[in-house]
Amino acid sequence: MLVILCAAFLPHAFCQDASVNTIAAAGYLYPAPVMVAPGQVITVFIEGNLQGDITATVRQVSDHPAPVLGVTPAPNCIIAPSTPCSSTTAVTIQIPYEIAPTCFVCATPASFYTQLFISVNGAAGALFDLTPLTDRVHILTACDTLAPNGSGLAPYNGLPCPPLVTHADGSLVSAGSPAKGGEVVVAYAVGLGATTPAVRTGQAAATATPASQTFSLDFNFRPNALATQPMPPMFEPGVLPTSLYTPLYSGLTPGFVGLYQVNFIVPTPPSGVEPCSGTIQSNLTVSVGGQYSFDGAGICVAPPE
Amino acid sequence: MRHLVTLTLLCAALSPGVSAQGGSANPIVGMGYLYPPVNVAPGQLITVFVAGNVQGDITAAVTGRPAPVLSVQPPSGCPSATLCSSVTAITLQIPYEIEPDCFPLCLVMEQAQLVVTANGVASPPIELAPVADRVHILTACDTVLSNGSGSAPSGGLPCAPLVTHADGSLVTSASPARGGEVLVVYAVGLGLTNPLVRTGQAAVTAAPTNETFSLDFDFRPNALANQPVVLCSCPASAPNCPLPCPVLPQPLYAGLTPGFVGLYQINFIVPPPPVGTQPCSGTVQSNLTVSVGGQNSFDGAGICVAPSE
Repeated sequence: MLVILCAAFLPHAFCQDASVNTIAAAGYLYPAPVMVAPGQVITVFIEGNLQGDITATVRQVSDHPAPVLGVTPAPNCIIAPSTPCSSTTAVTIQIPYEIAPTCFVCATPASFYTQLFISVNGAAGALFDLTPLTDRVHILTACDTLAPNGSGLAPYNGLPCPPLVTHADGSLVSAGSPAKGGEVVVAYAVGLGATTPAVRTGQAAATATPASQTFSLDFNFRPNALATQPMPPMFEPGVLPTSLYTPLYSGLTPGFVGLYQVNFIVPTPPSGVEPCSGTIQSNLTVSVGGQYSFDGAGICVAPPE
Repeated sequence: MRHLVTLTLLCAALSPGVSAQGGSANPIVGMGYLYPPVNVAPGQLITVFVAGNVQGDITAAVTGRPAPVLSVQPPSGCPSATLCSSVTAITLQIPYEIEPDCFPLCLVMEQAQLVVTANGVASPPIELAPVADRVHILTACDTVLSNGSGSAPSGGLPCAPLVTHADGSLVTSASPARGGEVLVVYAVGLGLTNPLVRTGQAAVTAAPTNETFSLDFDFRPNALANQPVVLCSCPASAPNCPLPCPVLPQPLYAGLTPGFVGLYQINFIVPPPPVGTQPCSGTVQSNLTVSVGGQNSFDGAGICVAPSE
């Protein structure tokens, strides 16, 4: 699985001019500012098809290079291939570790005006606002633009794609290979922020490098649940031992740029948990939460025998 | 509170001089891990973010069918200083006449194209995937609301959902719901109704949805949505059924809100909170997540309920 993750970062490029009145997005919230954490690997969608020398820069007081890890050309139109579609080029970058996160909870709240721009063949593009935070957890899924063969497209049922959660041997946890209570599994993620010791932007960690921040866990055995913001253990007294709310390890995965892993023990499923099958795509949602963000992974666990 | 701080900081960032960057080439239109979603339901209200300061006569169409433009938010209303120079927010209604695909009941995936035209100049089309339902429970931040900021909170939880008591007042931590009370959730994307309502027109009377929607109730604090799922192996009427299908909680009413274009409401009864439910306070921003699910989608609203006495 890790080898395939590497293959997802092969760069390539394509070319087409941008057009006027281009529809950038549709939804209910503006596409910016985007919240990011130091070191976060994230895909930037840019209008039109780009080719040539593509660089990224994060501007915060001074300019910080944001390494470009991969470029995916804009997808072709499906319904009318001969029609020029409004399209985007997907550029995967790493947010520099050097940027300072905004501090909302400090005695004197600090903010740092932060912007991203992409340059093509030396020509800088328009600025895009970022909100830097200490963490912006995103558990990777099979559909992600960062994932091996990730389509970048969401499923039609509103559930996330299968998360990249593996057994200790690296094989994916799935309905056919569910996790078991007491087992140690690994969730792969991005956006866990600064580490101790610090790792240089654009470089892979040589060894295990823990996140500086302490992350919490939440376990929800309801089927097909999205994430739950992990709460301090005091809010669910006696449900699980406190140690289960803390990962065994949360930090960088050696050999990869900006890839984190969260190792944790699967709690014993309560009696009555239905196995994954048919409409039940997950029967345990594991959520990982930090100071400013949380995300969840719906996985399959074997019911107690 | 954290959100207010965010907005304050953003306002401070709007001063001229800090946003200057030559040229509008290579504009960034989004960041994340998935391409922008394109699933829409017939009649869905949605905001389209168009590059540039689009002014004048603005129209929209989905595969040749007019999509009424309900509002245009000029770049000056955008919460982002630099994006303000390049994005216009256009709220429109997807025509009821589009044909939703039949996934997952069949493998045919219909496609449609959305085009926005400004002063006679058409945008390049974006492709849409029409589905029977694409439930989105409205929140106070949403751009389809006249006063919605369009900006997400920094904590990862959604903005406060538009869920009201029967008297129209918002359900909040200070005014929590109670077990047995009837509440109203406002949403978009619930699809076709019976009777049909014409695109761009408000329902005159209650118009229930064609599709049956189900509910899910989760009393975990600060939970996002749960897909309402039937946990069963056979119909309850089947003999010797080891796990008969229960009846999922159903809304009292799911359909259009009279007097509004494309606005739906879901009326439901709040179940009694289980013993031990934490009240909303401090970090507990919600202690009941109500999820509404249809054939192709679901969404949830985190609200506050008063614990059982």
